Amino acid sequence: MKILFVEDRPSRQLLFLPNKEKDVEHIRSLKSVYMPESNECKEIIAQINQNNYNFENSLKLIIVHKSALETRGLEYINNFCKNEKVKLVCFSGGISQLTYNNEDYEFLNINSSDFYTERLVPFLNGFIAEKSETLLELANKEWKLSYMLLARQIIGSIALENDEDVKFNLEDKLDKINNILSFDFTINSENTEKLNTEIKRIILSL
Amino acid sequence: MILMKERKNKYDFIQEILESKKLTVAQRERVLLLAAEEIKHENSNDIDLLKRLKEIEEKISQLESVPPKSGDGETGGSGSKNKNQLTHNPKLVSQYLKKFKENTPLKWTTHTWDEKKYETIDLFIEDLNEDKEYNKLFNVHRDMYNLINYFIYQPKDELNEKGIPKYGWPNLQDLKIGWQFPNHLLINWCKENFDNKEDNRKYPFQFNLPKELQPQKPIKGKMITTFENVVDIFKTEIQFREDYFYKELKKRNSRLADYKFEGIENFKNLDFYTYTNGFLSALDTVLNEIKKNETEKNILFSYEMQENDLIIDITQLNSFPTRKLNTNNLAHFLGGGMNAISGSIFSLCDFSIISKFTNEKNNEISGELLIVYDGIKGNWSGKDVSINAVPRLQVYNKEITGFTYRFKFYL
Repeated sequence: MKILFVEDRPSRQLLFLPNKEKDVEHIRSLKSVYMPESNECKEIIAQINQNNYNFENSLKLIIVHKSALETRGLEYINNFCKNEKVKLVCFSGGISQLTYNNEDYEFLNINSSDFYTERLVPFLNGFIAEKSETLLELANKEWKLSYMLLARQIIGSIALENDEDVKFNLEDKLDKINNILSFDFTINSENTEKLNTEIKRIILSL
Repeated sequence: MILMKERKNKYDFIQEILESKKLTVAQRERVLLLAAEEIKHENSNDIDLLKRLKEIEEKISQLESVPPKSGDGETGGSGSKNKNQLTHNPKLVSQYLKKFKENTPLKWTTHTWDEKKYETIDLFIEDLNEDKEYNKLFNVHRDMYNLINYFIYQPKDELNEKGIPKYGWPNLQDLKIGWQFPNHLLINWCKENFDNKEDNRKYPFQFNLPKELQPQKPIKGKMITTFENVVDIFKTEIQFREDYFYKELKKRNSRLADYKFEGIENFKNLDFYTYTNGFLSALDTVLNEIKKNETEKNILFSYEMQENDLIIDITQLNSFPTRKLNTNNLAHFLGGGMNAISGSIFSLCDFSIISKFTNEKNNEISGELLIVYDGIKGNWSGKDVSINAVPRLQVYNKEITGFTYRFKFYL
């Protein structure tokens, strides 16, 4: 098993996935994906919440419905992923903002409707074939370009911002983008030309 | 055998003193402390005696938490004459807030309606209004009650001629809208855009706020223009989500750059329900207290999660109190800072401090001073809570590295 996929409300898959049952059947047919159903799923969630679920050693990615987890269960999964460098995707209707972090381990928080899209099946196929670069492929095909454009906007906004809270949030976001893109230069107001060159390079390759 | 008999007599003697009705609370605390010290000196591994001492402690705690007879205005429950008396009950608050993720109508006030849960907005609102449990918050956490009442139900608030409420959310006065308030604005919009629609259906979160209800300035770093933005802010008021708490720690670290904040990296992704504004206010007061000792610049942040609780410790390393601890009057140890912290976290978590104290006889005591604990009362002034209880001191046997502020949340 490479991927543990915990979804306690499978009706949502039929609702959001573009090819409905066909997509669900495809995911179920993947030998590297373990997607427990009904009572088995509930049992696994209960064990995670009680901190006594034994994750398989072969696990590379956990996908889980965040609302099914209690504080303690979420902590248990986070610690496991951090220690074993296993990637983690949490999806929920209660997540309003996509958050991504790759500092200790790769971690993506994403709204259910952004998760169950036409990108999910290709992502799973790519991940199993070890051709996936990052969890961000689940959120946006052109994730690099979109982060670069966002960085350019943020640099402009920081210079004009007076509100300390907003400024702190923007600087924090820029730090994160620097970590994610890991260019050989720091994205900041002094390096906007370098950033523009990168943006142009990607746009021309589209 | 002789030793056992002697111990039994000592135990009985302690019990008799402690159960004496002539003792004040402070005197009982003193006896308890001396008894603990005595037993510790005698044999620190004597589990039986320590267990029995704990039983006495529990007995006393029960005696002290018995509410006064009704009619004297001090019970603080529903129907109480003193509506501004609150009872510290963090378990009730966290159990209530957890309903926002469980399969309850409350969940759908903060989660996108990814499945067609309701045919009409009225059916949803009816479901919401059936749940009266939030009323229990009134005498437990007034700000939380007011926030829930504003966001979900119908607060008693004056509207001006343009229909704009005079007051906003308890902590965010610029936010002046909720699911049913003011004037059923959102409900009326949903009737036109959501009810019984198959095509072009719009969901409540898509509601664009009228210009006059859009705050002029960013709230928590964001401009608020849609109901979804409002919901997002509400979620951060009742829950530390994703990196919210970690970011708040980082923000404070950047303001106190000459202090070292150790261990804050571990708070990434720490996710739990509480009234976040209350705890962040307490955090700010803790940091102000810490700044009073300018020579010790290392602050250790740590947490431990157990089966049903989460303990967050903030320790100013190598810092120890200079104020003496009068074991006959423990409340005397508390200054304005401690009282402010107590008021901020009232009914959110228990609060204690752990350190090496010096008592009135210049003896060192390694102890935990319990300041906000189960069942104590507080008075609501309309803005703050002032606590109305005597601290309790208990022996602390683990290593003490400085002055620790301990917050115990119930999950």
